[in-house]
Amino acid sequence: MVDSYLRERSSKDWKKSEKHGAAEWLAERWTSIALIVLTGWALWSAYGLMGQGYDAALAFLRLPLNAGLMALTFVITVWHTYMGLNANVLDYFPNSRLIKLVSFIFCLLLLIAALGGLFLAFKV
Amino acid sequence: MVELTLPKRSQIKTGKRYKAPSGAKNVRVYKIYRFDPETGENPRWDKYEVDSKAHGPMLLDSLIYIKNNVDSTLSFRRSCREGICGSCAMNIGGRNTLACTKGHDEFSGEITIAPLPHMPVVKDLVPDLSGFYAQYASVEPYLQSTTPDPEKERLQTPASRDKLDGLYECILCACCSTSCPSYWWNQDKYLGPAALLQAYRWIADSRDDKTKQRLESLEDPFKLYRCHTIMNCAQVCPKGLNPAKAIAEIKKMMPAK
Repeated sequence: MVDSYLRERSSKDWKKSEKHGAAEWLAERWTSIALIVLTGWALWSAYGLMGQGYDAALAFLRLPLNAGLMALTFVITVWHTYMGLNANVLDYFPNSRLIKLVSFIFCLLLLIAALGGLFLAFKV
Repeated sequence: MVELTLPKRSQIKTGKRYKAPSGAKNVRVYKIYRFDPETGENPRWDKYEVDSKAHGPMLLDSLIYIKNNVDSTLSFRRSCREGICGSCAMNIGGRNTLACTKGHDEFSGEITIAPLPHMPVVKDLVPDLSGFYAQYASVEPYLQSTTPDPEKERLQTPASRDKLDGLYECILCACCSTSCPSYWWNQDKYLGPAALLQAYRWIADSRDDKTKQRLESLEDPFKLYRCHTIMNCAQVCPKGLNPAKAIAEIKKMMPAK
């Protein structure tokens, strides 16, 4: 009797699982770890390039490994930012599709600006 | 969802002050939230001056004294008076706790007593916990086994039994859930620390065979992943449990399910 009462309450009154969330949670953790490494690399590289001028920075970026790592840093930073922003939107405006869309567009623009800047630097 | 304006008639007004009898010594002042939704009036803070030598040492003793001797209209829940039923959970001095295990001498000055925060109020210090219990029911808090019932009890190794320590002691007082900001904002979708601790209690039980189904039913951006490890739940739990750790264990098990 108790079991049937509990089943009835749970099926009637409570939200069903959306069957996702674990992948997002893992992505948050892995991007955090990747960013610790990549930010460290970016800071170390910037320190090494200090006072060497624009040409040295361009030469640094023209190396495929450096350009790839820099692009990866931008992409993961924006991805991580988007997930963080999305978590805030879900917390405070869980039912607002408009705010979810605005947050997505904001991150998309940020990604385009970052990768565009890298592309222009690479092209110069 | 976050609301930036207060609902109508929710502003708390200043209420009555009940003076202590003349000649009373050791007077403590209790500032108590009073609200009766049926009257249509705003909630108010009533103040009660009570001689602390006239009753027992716990705050529940103070409340019972006030109800019996000063103002019989004051409503609050209580039952066991020894921290095992969870009925007298309320917000005392700004922190969720049990009135029966909190001594009035642990506070200095005026003692503020309010119902558990962010819950609908039935009357005075009595919150409506229907949603909280529905959340608890939704995690199916009972043993589910695919094996036939044994002649006697289902056995566990001591190591398997140890995994339930820190989980089975929960008394469902709701102190943890109602101290959680994520629960305040999304209690219609987020299960909250108490229900998730109970969910993990059955996930961790070696005798239960529905671990995969239990995990699948919890995988949801709101039901589970609104927990941001704020840790208020662990801070306020009157039984010293750590629901945040149980939630973290569920999150760790989820990708491997």
